[in-house]
Order: sequence, then C-alpha cells, then structure tokens
Amino acid sequence: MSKDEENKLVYGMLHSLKSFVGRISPDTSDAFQSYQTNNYRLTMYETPSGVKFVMNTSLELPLQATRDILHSLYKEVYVEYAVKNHMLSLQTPINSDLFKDKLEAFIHSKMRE
Amino acid sequence: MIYSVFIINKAGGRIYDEDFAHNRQGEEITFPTHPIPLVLSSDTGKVMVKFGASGNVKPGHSVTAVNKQPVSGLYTANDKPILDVINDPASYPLTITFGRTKASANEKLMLASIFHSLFAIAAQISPVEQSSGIKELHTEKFTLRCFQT
Repeated sequence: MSKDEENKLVYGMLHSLKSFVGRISPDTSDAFQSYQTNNYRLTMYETPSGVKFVMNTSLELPLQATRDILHSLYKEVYVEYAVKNHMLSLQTPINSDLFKDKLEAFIHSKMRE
Repeated sequence: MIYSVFIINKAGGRIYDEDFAHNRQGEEITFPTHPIPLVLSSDTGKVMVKFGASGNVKPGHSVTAVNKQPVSGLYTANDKPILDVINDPASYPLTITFGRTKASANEKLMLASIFHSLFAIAAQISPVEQSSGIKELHTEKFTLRCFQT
C-alpha cells in the first residue's frame, strides 16, 4: 500500500489503541506503550505536548531499551534539530535534510550498540 | 494478577468475558462549599470526572453515590439530576463518592470488537512480511496477552 495510506492506517490505529487502553485498563490513568506480534514490536512514546514517536523494531531488542531510544531520540534529535529550528513549522511534515541526517546517524549509532 | 479475560470469536464478537478486578472501592470526599475542584461531564450516561483532581480522585472516576446514597445513571437516589445538585450552592456541605464503574455489557462487546480490528491491522501494517496479529500489548499499568487458535 502507498506511504500515505500506511501513515493514515498507523495513525488511526494509534488513536484507537489509546482509547482502547484508556477504557479497558483497571486503573484510571493509563497510557499505551507498545505491542508485539510474532515478528515485530511497535513502540510509541508520547510527549506531554502530544507529539508521538513510533518505532517498529524486531523482537530481540528488549522493551525498555526501545523506550529509552525513543526518549533519547526526542531529546537529542527532535528537540535539537526540529524544535529549535525556527525555519520548520511543526504542523507540516518535517522537510529538513539536517534533521534527516541527524536522525539516520542517531539510529545507526544505536544499531551498532 | 489477572484483571479480566475476554474470549472473541473469528468474526470479532465477544463470546465470553470475566472481570476479576475487585478494587473498585470508592473514595468518599466531603466538599464544604461550592465550587468543587473537579470538572464533571455526563456524556457517557454517568457523571464522570473529566478534569481536575481531589485526593485520589482523577479523570476517569465516576460518581457512585451522593451523600452516601447510591446514584442511578445521572440521577440521585431522590431522582434529582446529579449535576444540578452539585452546581447548587445550597446543597453544600456535600459528600460525593467516586469510583471506577464496571464496564457495561455493551461496552465489553465494543471493546472485544475494537481489539479484533486492532489485532488485524497490526498484522497488516507489519514492516516484515507475514506477521501474526497482536500477541502482547504493554501499557504503563497492565499487560494484555492474546492467544489465537
């Protein structure tokens, strides 16, 4: 399926997951973190400002490690190269080569660990 | 600790469910005057806390009793709309009991079919070919496990 369709599906899925978790949880304030199937894990990290970081990984990587990666990604890449870049509007898709390069470098450094 | 079990059939309909979570004890708070530090909403058929906190009461809790008398739906035991009683300064001091109400049978049906769809979509958006549906789902406070026959 096309990238656009896939994005819409993922976004709709996340939205439904959030409300599903909110209702089925035995505790009143709960938040969806991740799910796994037989060959991948989807992890979501949401900031208090509503920005959601979603990552698909293989199952070998432990759950806490993926959450830490997403948190570091937010702190070291998104805040530094997307938020602090005044040329970017965070309401439209991010169109910055610098951000893209820094993101790729970050992911490669994490994969080497 | 097991909180609940659902059994869902091939078409996504709930066949069986059981709820083991028993810690739905309410928190009773006596408010001395109007207004109270909670924003309440009634759109789900129950009076629920939408915003604000007081003691252990947080968004998601519903009003289960007013002045120690159990409520039914949006009305008190004396058939007065709960929100009217709460918004009337003359009702104070007022004792309200909050708790997490059990999901209704209809809600459980909805939850089962929602999960069925999420399970199927997870298999479709897989970055790897040929994925199964959701096997485990983690949240801050609980884990959901699914076994498909």
